[in-house]
Amino acid sequence: MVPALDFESVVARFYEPLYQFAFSLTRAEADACDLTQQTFYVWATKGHQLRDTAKVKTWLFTTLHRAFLESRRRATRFPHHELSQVPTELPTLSAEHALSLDTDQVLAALSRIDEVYQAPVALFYLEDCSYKEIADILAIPMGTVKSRMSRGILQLQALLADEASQRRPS
Amino acid sequence: MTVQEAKEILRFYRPGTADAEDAEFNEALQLCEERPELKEWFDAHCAVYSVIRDRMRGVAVPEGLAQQIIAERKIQPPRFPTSKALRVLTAAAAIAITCVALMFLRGPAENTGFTGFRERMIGTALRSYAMDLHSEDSERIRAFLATERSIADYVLPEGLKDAKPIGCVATTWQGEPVSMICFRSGNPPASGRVSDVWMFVTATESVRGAPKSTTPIITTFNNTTAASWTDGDRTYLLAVEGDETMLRRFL
Repeated sequence: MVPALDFESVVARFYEPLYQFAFSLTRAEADACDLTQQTFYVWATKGHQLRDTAKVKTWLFTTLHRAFLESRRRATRFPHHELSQVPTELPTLSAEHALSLDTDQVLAALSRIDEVYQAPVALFYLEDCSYKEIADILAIPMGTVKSRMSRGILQLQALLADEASQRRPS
Repeated sequence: MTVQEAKEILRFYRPGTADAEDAEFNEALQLCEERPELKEWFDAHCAVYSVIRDRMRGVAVPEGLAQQIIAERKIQPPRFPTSKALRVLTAAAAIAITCVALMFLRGPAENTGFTGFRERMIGTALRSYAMDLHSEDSERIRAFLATERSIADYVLPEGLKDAKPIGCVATTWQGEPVSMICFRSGNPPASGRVSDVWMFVTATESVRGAPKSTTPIITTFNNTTAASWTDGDRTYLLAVEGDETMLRRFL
């Protein structure tokens, strides 16, 4: 039997991670609130079409991400990178250096990486979604998810390493 | 599996998640136990991952957001069919088809008209929001909104001309610009609020069903009272956290 879901329990369970995902994409509180509210509005109107309650989380994140893309009125399609083209070595960002950075600095760095990599990288760090769920949320193949993540993480860690090095006492 | 191959797999490994149950990750993790240099690389990867994850999860969620979402909900929640409900639903299939036909006749369910605009804007005002510009200078606010390609050619109502602005937000409705100018009434602000009077202005053509009259139409929502009107090609929404008497001070 499929368990019943009520609106308030879905909100209580998911509004925080959805807001954090939205904030990581927009870096604006008002926009993140709007995206989160819009997501639950769509859930209230269309969520009943979802037959598998186990996919509520993926459904909500997918809806939020689509709303974000629509809000940005993207005119160009994302480039598709094969995983084999992606370098594997990470820059030298140590945990010690990372610890010197705060949330604002990490999010600022995220906003500076190529836009196409921002959502995959945010999901990589923020949510415990499986890679299959992330592929569903972003509506791209699994290989593309990993290639975008890989490139995005490289860019992010390079920026953070640079930020941390500037903060280190000489 | 070589060390390099293991690294290529493990760079996607997220400690503390279900990744640990994945067979491919497990195979690479086993190699970590055998190869100290790989283990050292992997430990560093996990440590950096954990720090960045903690930082990203440190984003504070605005207080009251959940209540706002629930309060703004206007339609019934989605319900998943139980076996009993499924039988009822099956029996009601003909009615459902009729309802679908009616939905098509009545247009899309999403409220993209003026009432939706009003609810969204007031909702934005009532929760904690980040102002794009903090300023008590009306002309600086106007110039900022022009720079942001938002609506800057608005006309303030007489009652607002002497009110104290504190900043603005360049927001959007259905992808079209909306300028939100924030004021203080002079009354003691509610807890957590920096403003209690807000004026929104957008292009009339951006809001389906916008008021056609220059005479303000006044409506009340809980503790908020709003006036809406259209002047030329601009539609205005003035909202206060208070009653109609308070609102009329600013018209």
